[in-house]
Amino acid sequence: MKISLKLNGEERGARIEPRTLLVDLLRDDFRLTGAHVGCETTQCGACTVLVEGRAVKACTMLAAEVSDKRVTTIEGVATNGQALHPMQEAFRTHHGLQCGYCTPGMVMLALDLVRRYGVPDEATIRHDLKGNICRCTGYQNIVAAIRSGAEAMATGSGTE
Amino acid sequence: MHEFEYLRPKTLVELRRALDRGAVILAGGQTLLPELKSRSRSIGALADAKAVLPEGIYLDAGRLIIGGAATHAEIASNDTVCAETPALAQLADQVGDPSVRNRGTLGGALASNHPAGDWPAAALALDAVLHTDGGNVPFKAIAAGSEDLAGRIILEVSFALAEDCAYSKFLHPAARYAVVGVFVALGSDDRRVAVTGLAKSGAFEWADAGTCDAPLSIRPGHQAIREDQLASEAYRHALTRELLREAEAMLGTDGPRAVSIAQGQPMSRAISQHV
Repeated sequence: MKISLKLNGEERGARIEPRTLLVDLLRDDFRLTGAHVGCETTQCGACTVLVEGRAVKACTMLAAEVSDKRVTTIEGVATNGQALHPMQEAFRTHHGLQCGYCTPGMVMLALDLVRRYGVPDEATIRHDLKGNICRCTGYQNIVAAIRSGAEAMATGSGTE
Repeated sequence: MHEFEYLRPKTLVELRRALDRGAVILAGGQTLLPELKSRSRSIGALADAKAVLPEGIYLDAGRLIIGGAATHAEIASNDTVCAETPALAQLADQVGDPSVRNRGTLGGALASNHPAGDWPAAALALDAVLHTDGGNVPFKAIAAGSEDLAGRIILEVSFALAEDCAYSKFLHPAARYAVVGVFVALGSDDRRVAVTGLAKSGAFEWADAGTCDAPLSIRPGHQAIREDQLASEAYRHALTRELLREAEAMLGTDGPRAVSIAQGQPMSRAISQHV
């Protein structure tokens, strides 16, 4: 089947099997390998992307479901010539990662948190990180990075 | 995943036609897609129904009506649900994780009726009725196994408005389902308790729950009690009693109406610390 979608701001099309997962469409067809396949069982969050601005686990959504929808991946968050989106910058500043495997999913989930809460407090961040697993760092710096990234976005150094 | 045909009906009539030809409804897919991915289930055709199913939330004739395609996230943040039945909004906000809540739907949660699902407990305690394209079905008939939803489309779900209600669950550390969950609803002259995660066959109404101090003898009819590497039968029984206490402690307070208690967390502390 054929689908078309708005991927990171660009109109894109693909010919896919109906059973194709969104994460496989992104990685295999569009070569956007920032969404990682960690557990592939909806638990780890490494494949998190935004569909219509809302965080989803791309391993648990069919590619067919994003037909005519807006999809944003980690590759598309920095805009207007920025090297890094303020949320990415905050992860760098706060050392919110070690191996980096979970990081794209963490950043995408963080953007959903900002959409819903503006600048979320620590308890809210921790509550909402339940589905994004980091196996290296512990979550202290990730929580600090999200808080700081949200503040940066609120004060206008952010884009979305 | 095995191969299947993907259909995208544009109207309920087209959806009905697809189901009559054997297609399976895809709403949020958070239960169905994992089943298909693990090949524990295979299907001939999938009808992507999200666009044609109702998702509105409103009050009607003293009941709360929620569209079958409303997501957990939409329910959690809905003003009507927050004002009328905060326990449901807070329960919705504790299903899975934010990404799952952005996709998973109420209709899907009740149709799949997972034996440790949160929504089945709420649906039983609040006397939920499923409005399907083939007529109304009380959720208790689904839970009891006397009716099933095969081939039906859940359009809306209606919940009784309790005087007060609360839900407490003991969290599975990985799956984020309830190990056990207890939903308590107070009506003007009755009190309903529903338990999820305890019986193998799924949520049931604990009709003789009595008071917290009553001797514990939870025997949901002939149903077997779940037992796995995480929790023995005796442990689940003990959890049920404690969770009932936790749920009842929330009633009539200014505090939360739903809590998830994690392993290693003292119970009363969990309540005081919850957001």
